[in-house]
Amino acid sequence: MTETASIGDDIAYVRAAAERSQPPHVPAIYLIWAAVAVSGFALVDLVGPGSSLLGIYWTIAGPVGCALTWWLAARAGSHVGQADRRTGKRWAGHFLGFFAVGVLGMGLVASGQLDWSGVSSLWILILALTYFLAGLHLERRLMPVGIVLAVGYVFTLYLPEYGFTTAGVMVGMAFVAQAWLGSRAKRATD
Amino acid sequence: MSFSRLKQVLEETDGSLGTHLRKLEDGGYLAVEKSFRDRRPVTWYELTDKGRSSLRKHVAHLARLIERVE
Repeated sequence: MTETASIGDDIAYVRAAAERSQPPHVPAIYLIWAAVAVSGFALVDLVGPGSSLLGIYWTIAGPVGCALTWWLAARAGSHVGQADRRTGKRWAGHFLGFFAVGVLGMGLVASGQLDWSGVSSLWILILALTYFLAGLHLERRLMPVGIVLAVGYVFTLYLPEYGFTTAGVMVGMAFVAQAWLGSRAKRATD
Repeated sequence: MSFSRLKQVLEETDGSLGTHLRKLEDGGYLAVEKSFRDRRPVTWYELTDKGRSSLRKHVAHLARLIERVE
């Protein structure tokens, strides 16, 4: 066998092994965030953008959602026999970055340059970028969610009555769709 | 990764995979941890810093070979 053919065989083997070693798909994670998004976004229309209930909701839903996500992912990894702590740290860093930028954005309210409804829309825009970049660098399935969030952001600007609710429903549907598509892809390879 | 997961991903037999993993462990490229899941023993393998560094060099070498061929 020529060196080129041998290298080609080796690379094909490694590539196939890499494809088989993709981390497990956990639909429940997508469904959790679908529920969080639908509830949390609709709450903005329900109680108003300046309500303290929003802060209470996201202070609880955010960390609880993250903790559940971590637990479900770790459990799935343990079940299949594959755990990637480095990637887990990248995920954590990625979304902590989102949180940090969002908190810094509150400075715009504190300095009087933005009102509370603007803050809610701003968080959705930052979240759109966060999910889009997560789709680029971490999990491809999140890229469409980022795009839907960006569209949802526009709805929050131009639909005065139910803009946030509409955005929340769209994002929830995007999460559910990705949960289903991931399960379908897994069934196809099993 | 657990032994059974490695076996599934690499499509190797127990004996062959075990031999390779033992050599990598003896060479300091892999760290081994044994645990239990549902009362069944599970052996976990993880790249050491030496293993990760060697893998990077190997991949870089492969990339250079591919460039030469192209």
